[in-house]
Amino acid sequence: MKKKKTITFDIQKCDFCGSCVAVCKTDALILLETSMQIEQDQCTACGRCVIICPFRALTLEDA
Amino acid sequence: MKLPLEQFYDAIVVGAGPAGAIAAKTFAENGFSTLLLEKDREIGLPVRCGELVGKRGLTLAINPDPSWITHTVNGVTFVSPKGVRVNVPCPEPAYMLNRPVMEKSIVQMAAKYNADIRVGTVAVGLLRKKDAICGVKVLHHDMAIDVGCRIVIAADGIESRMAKLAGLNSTITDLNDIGICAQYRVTNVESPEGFPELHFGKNIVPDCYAWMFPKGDGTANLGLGITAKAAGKESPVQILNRFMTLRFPKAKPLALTVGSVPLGLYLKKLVAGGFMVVGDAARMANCLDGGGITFAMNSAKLAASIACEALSEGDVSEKRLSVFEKRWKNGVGKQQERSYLLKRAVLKVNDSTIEAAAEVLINKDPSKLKYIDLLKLTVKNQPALILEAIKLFK
Repeated sequence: MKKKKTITFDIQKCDFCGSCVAVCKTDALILLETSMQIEQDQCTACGRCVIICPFRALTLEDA
Repeated sequence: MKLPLEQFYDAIVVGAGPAGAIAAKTFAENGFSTLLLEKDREIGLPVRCGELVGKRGLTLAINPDPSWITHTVNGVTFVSPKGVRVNVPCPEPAYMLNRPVMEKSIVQMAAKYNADIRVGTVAVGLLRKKDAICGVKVLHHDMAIDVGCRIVIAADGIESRMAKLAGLNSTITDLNDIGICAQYRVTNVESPEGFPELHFGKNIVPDCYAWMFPKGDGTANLGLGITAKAAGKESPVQILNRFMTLRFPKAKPLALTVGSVPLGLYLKKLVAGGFMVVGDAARMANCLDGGGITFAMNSAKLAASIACEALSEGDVSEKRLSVFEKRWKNGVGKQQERSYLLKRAVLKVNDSTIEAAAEVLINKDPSKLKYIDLLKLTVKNQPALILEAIKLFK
């Protein structure tokens, strides 16, 4: 089944704190030195990282 | 030209926070070739921490250099929702740390014993041979390099992926088991007592607590933590701005950081073949206050000491390393389990109970007040938890 939502990431807002990585159930988020890689194939768009992100750098949008 | 990374090490430590620094120092001073990897470009920064630590826990891990400590703390001020201030002497002295100085200093000790150190270097994968981990895949600048080793210690913090990659389930599944924090480093704050302050009340912070920790140099760490439930409604930064305006209207921010702390139980499995996980990465912390420095440092010291023995014996199997798991479970791990029970109770306490407790405590002799008195009053409708509280604070 195709996902209805997708996670988008705003690098300008991110502080690279890694909170999102800690709650990701599918290991879809990879925090690098000053960027973040989102493995869209692994992401289930569950939205847990969106709730956690202190700077609201992650959002759930219609695919 | 041969890069320093293209080597084989006895031990690779991922993350140069307080845990990783202690682990690297332990390996290096025992004569094992060591590589310490740090994702950030400078060790000790950014400071995603209130920097308050118990003296006993810290000195158990390492003999602290005076330069790491901004001042010694002998009491704490609890501030009720209506602003009633209750001063409680600390059960043991605590220190306000300068974490960047401390972490650089411990890493320097590791370097003195020839540990290799790489900053701005991200561990992105683990190398595996049969049942054991045998190296780390790293990104440095624009180079991807495989570095082999006999044992990996994952001290990669709350954002840890190393444990997941080693096959240990480290995802924080219950969103109540993570505290989302925001903190300003501020100037222009004054408190009558000069103690670290803990502020409670739904008007201040929806759950958990807010803090103001004076650093002794005219600055302070002003921050708060909330659960995911609260964060779904409002971001911690918005709540922090309100707290600062309400309680510290003259404060001027010098820095803003965010981050999260584990508030659940530590991982059931802490080891795999050739692999150990410590500190925040292993979800080790005091769930009641979110403090993780001493858990991180002591877990790292214990893990690295056991790893040194294992390396000397030539056996880094999961079975051999599981000594760490057992010893942690029977030691500091018990403290975390108790703090977890208490946290669940304290989160249920409402503002009127806190206010009533403050009114009772303010009339008592401050020099005779103890933390346990506060807990007794706030969890008084849950008697079984008072026993747990006594065990935690004895």
